[in-house]
Amino acid sequence: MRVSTILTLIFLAFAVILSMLSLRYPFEVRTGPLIAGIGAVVLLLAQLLRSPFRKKDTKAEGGEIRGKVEGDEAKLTARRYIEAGAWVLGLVAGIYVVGLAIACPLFTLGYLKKHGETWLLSISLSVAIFVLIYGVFGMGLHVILYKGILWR
Amino acid sequence: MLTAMGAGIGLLFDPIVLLAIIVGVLIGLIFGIMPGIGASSAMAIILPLTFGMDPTVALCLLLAIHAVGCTGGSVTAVLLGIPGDAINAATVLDGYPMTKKGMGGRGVGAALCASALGGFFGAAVIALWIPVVRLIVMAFGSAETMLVALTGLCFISTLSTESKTKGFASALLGMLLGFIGVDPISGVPRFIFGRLYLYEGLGIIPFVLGMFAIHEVIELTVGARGAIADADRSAITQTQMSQVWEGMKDVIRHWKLFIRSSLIGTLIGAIPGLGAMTAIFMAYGQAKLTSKHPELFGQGIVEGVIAPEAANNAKEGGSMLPTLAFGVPGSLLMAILLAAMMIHGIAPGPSMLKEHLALTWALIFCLILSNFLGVVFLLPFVSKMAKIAFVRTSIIIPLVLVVACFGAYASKNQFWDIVVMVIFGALGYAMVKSGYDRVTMLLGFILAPIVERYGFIAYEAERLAFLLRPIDLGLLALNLLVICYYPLRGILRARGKDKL
Repeated sequence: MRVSTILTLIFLAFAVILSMLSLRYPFEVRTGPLIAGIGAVVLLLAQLLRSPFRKKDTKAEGGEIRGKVEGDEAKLTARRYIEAGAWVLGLVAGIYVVGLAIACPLFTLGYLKKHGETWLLSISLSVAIFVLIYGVFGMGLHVILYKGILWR
Repeated sequence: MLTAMGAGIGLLFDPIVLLAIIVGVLIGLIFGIMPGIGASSAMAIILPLTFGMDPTVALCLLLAIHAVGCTGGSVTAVLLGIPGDAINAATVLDGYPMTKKGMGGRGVGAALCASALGGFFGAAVIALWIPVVRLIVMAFGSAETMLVALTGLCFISTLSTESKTKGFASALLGMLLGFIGVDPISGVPRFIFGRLYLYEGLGIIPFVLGMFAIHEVIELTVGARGAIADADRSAITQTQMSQVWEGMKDVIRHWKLFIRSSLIGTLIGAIPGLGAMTAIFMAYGQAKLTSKHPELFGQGIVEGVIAPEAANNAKEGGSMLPTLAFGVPGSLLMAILLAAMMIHGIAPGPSMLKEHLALTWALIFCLILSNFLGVVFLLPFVSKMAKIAFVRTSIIIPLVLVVACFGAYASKNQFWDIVVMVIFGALGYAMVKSGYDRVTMLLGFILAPIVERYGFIAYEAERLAFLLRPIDLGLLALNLLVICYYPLRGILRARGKDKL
């Protein structure tokens, strides 16, 4: 199943659920969501009917070799998606646990070193991030920084 | 009037006031460049520090921050694809593709010039409108505000790129997202699922940062790109500085577009409650409608940068009009300025134009001077900043991610805004891959609550009687024209080919 079809189904479920939930509300409150929801359902159904469920056919002439190359590329791309997701979720989890002022510089340091940057650059940028977040915004401008569950 | 104008200029050229303007411009630029933080945060932080200041100094400082906030944001919008504030979102659409082609300098040059001249335009228009402002602003009630916001929604038909069905579906889904939270009319919480966090609805900053910044981070990581620019540095024959000048000249070349966009920004800014997004996307939409090459929009055409940047700075001048003349803030930033006025014992409203006319003129000239200084301060650095397009992504990605997370958090000091940003980032990435439109979703998200609120007020006050007014009929006709423009053009072209 193609990504666009999966996304369309997710959007359709979202629109249907919100439209049904809006029926509980008084008239003036449900009108807007109902109009938007029903409109979205109609358009998404039309979109689904236009793009039938189908996979790519890799077994055409010369397709086996092409299929293997495409398969390798797909694995590499999947690995990159997982890597990107892991870094983003890792940063968010780090912020949740230890707070902004610690997680952000550590993340910067870890990412730069993992991707082959020098220690000098990695540490300099991490320190700069710490100074910006904690020094300038936290101490200088008294912005309340998220501390993380560890320090609560 | 002329005496007051002269007195206003005299107030402005006090050394302390000039220093305050310079400091304000620097603060506005720095905060504006940082994604998600923006001029509103800067003004809110600086406001308490102005308590002991002379009123003119305090107001000029805050206004200077306000005037250049979106100018700074346009730099990151063009160079990194991350809007400094939500109002720079439309600039990303064509500014960032220009950077990918190695033409970031030209994009930034066009953005800076359009911003500065747009700011002049907005300030000049309010200076001319002061005698007639009451007639103009009073002509716009709830029904008219709703119809103008609806016009913004109608531009979805011009903004949606790949598929009109997907474009409109994205807009409607955005509208559903915009309805999350407490309904401002009845106080009924909608779709909050028992979560206090959703009481105020989803924040626009996490939405925009997710859709643009996180999407771009994923794109750079998965695409394994060495740098933002696809073009080889050696293939770019123009230096970045000459590109910047070229971009500035582009604004003069497209002077008609600039004037139309600035006029849209000023007019929309003068109507309280409509918001900047209506102005910038209407300006972008009309730029695409009137362009000789509409198919190039979204791929890095300079007109796509000039239109929203001219509109978003001209809007600042327009929003000063109801703030000063009626004490009704034209925007969130004007609400902060209004608070500053009241703190310093100045009552905005009709008395501003009688007892404090010199101060009013000083503020108008402060707006002009701040826009000019913003460009002057940025210009020496722009060519170097444009080289960011060739910096290794291993350096860009962590910095963008960290600043985006901080920006999302700083908007309301809520950790869950960071989570929402990441969710929208993944959603935005999937949408782009699937041909759904982030921009139309953003437009629906912002404008639907405005249309709903003012539509309800108008209906309760006068049912459908507003449809009998010439202004409203004109706005309805404009809405229909915008929706039907492309289908009509297609039909007319097909008939033209048949005749040949």
